[in-house]
Amino acid sequence: MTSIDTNNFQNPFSVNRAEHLGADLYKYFAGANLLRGLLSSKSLVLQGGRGSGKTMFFMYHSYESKKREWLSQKSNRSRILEMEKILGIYFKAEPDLVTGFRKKGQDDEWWLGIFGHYLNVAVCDQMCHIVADLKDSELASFKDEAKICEAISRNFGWGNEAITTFKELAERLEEAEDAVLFYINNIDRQSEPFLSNTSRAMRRFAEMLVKSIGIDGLTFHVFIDEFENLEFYQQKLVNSLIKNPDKCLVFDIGVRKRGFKTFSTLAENEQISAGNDFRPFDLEEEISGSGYERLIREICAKRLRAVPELKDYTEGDSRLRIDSYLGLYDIKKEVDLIVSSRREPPYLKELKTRLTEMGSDGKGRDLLEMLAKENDVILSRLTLVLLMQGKKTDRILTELKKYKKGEISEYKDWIHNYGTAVVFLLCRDYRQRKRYFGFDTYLSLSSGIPRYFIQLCFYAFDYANKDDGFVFDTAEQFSIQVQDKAAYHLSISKVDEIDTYPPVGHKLKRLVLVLGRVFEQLHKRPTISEPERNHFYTDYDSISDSSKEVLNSGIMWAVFQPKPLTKIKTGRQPRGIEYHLNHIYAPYFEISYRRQRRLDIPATEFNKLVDGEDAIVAAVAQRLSKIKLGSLTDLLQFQDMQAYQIDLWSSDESQ
Amino acid sequence: MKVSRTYEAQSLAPSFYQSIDLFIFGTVTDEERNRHLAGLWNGQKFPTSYHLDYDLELEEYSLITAPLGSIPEQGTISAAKADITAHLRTQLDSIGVRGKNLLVDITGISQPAIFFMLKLLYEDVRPAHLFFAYTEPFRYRAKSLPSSEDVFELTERFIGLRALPGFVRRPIERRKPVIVLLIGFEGKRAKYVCDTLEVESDNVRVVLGFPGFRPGWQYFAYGGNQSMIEQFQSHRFIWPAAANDPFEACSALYEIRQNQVESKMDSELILAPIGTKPHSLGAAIFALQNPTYTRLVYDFPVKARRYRSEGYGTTWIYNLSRLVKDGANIPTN
Repeated sequence: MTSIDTNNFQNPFSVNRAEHLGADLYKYFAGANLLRGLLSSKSLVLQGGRGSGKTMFFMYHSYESKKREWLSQKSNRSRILEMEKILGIYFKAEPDLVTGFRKKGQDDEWWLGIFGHYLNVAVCDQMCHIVADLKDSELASFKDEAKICEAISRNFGWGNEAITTFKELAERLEEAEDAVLFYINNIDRQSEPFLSNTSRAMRRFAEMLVKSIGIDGLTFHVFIDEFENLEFYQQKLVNSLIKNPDKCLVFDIGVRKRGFKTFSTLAENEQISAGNDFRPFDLEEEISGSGYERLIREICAKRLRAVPELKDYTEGDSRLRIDSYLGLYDIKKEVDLIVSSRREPPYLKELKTRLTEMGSDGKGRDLLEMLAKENDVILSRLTLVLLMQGKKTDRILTELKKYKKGEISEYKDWIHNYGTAVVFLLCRDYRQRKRYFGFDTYLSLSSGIPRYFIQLCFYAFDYANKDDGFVFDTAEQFSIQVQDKAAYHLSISKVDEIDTYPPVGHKLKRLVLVLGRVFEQLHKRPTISEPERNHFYTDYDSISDSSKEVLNSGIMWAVFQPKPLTKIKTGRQPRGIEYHLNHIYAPYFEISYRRQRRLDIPATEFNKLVDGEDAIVAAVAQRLSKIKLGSLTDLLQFQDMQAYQIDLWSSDESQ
Repeated sequence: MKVSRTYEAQSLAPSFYQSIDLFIFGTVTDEERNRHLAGLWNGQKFPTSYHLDYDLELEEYSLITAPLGSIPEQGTISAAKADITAHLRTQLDSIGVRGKNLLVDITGISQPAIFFMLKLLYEDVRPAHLFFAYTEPFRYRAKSLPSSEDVFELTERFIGLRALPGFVRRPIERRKPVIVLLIGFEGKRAKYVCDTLEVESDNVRVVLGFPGFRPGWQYFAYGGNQSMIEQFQSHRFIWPAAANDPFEACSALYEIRQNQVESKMDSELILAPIGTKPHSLGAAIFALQNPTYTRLVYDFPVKARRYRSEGYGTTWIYNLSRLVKDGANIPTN
């Protein structure tokens, strides 16, 4: 093994997964107010993409975490049974486990018996560990322990065995779990193990335990995380458990969007439905806007507080506020950075030509003089855009005058509509990279996924430390360069990993690379007819099954985020869903992270983008972006961190 | 006494080839090297040979007789397939593997099929002598759209992490998962496995193929995994093992396990053999010898069928006879 020393800078964002927070997970849980009351006697279906916080929520509400949260320092005794009505069991549907219950020459109906038994055993095992721990910790006494153990043993066919304690029962249940797995690993030579009724034992066990503990309203909750990994028949089984709730045992699930393979239950013609059978909660949609910002601030504050140098700072101190490190996006700062690379504005010649040619009545020269006097890069560049859009010099001049006087002016709308889009044109003019920085920018880039925000912060703090020598003793706002590099780094890695997203990651990645390049080109159109186009609409009902599979897979992996259509362009266009390329990809493609205008892609063209031959895909991309793009190979060329560095060096050379 | 268990195929005496009763090979891709070992029988008595074809998605296989002189083209085999877990044991028995001298060329056989066959040969259908063979590529085809971390045309698409036939294990709740990545050129595979299994960054261990099949190839492996290594800070935990040596890989795993024991960490090892096939073989050997607290996981890449590699390098023969004879640990070379 090799071993080398590492920098001892403690990055507060180095852990980005709930699973890695360990026993102190509860200290980092944020959003308690936003998520209060989600767990009830009705099953919860918690939806969201990877990193949206499903696992954090379930792990926080699991028994181990709650027990620790309510540990009294004084008595060294947990008050969990006094403070909580839920004893949570976390069950992750591990893909390399649950997919073992398939094939092997048997059909789904046969597997249902095996998997149902396994789930029954596994849930009872977890309940057993909880009550054994309650007993060991002297939080509950269980006078009828032997009677309960014997009753449950009978359900599993161990009536003849003398199992009288929870510990013995837990051991026996673990053996039973292993016996099932041994059986499916050697299905051709092992005899089938005893199979328990799918849900009887776990329900009976929960009921007996709750009664024994003697607390009204106490319930066991089983949190089945990564529900999307379950096989079709396995989902039907869990749906049945949701459909038929039990007062002592409730099933809640965490699932990615489009992660349901079926809503059917095991009963014929029966389905589960939102509202009636379960409470749906979409983390990405229901925690948005200011709610998401509050959540992120809280997450960051808790992590910053864990830094030794910051432990003595009180709540509200700027050092515990993430925006103190990131600042806010400032268009002026970015434009200054862009234009500082060259003395002569590259667009000025074009602007002068147009105004002198068009301004035969002198209006053009007046406008030119006014712009020169203002010396405002955005205003000047925007004026060129307006001229290219065909707006009359007279009108522009009049509106500019009104704008400068503070009167109602179209310029205000134009700046509002095109201001940010102009930055992309300036980047093109000056051959500079678009920069991504600021707390608000990071918030948008993270697309409602807290893990993305945490990862952005990880790279920002990492680069701030490595490149700029940042330490917490001398806390100061990070440079634009550091923040931009961090954003680009994460963006690259997210783009790069798309082809590992099963089952159609290879198609998904090609689609994203092509769409991203199309959006990039649209951002560079000199007339900005549709500013900042970074999402698309296609008629879902009309696209091919293969395209639907790719689109749905993209949604499941949060590559695309579906949102209701905003502006209906024509009366004929149906109301439906538009698809946003996750904003985390924006730095890679140098496109906008704001929700502005969309690109409409006809279903036939979308099908070609998904499944077409290279030349056809390139032709569609060209039609969509309305400029010559070159071959598909050019479009798909991957830009990694090395390319980013080279890009920066090239920019430096031009200064 | 150290006993050599790895041989160059070309250096073996003709008597070795004469002694082989059964030969199993595969052609999962169209690579030239899949057929190289068969050529070494030129002018000698051919063993009874079988072609193994495995469908990663359906978990189905076919094992049909295929004379060495006429190896079928990939994609031309139309034999009916059967579920591997349910039928392979019976078929190995029926073709008379027990007590015979068996040589399996793993070059053209998919990892899940190699793992499951080895499990059967180790646990049950034991041949008298067992040899596995692997032919290195001469070179890999460069990707048409390379990046600094993705240089070669290796994988077409990923099916994703799922159960390996014969190796379904449950996570041990109260033990810390420590993942051991036996890495290859494709860093994104390692990242995907780590992300899916959600292992803590402090608990990532890496086995790197060093020396590589060819001088300098270890740099491709390291470079291809650089961002993963950075992300998980696993540069502190890298074990080198010759890319073509399963026994060295297996030794590295024993060393890692020993480290865990010494650090008094209650852990389960999750082995992800996503690098060379010899390393995959080493991981499977370790998993079979240490079934408790060891999980073998695999991301099921569907390999680029054409132009994956060009030519062939050295063909290695691995002697696994002792493993199947008495189940002995074989961590040393």
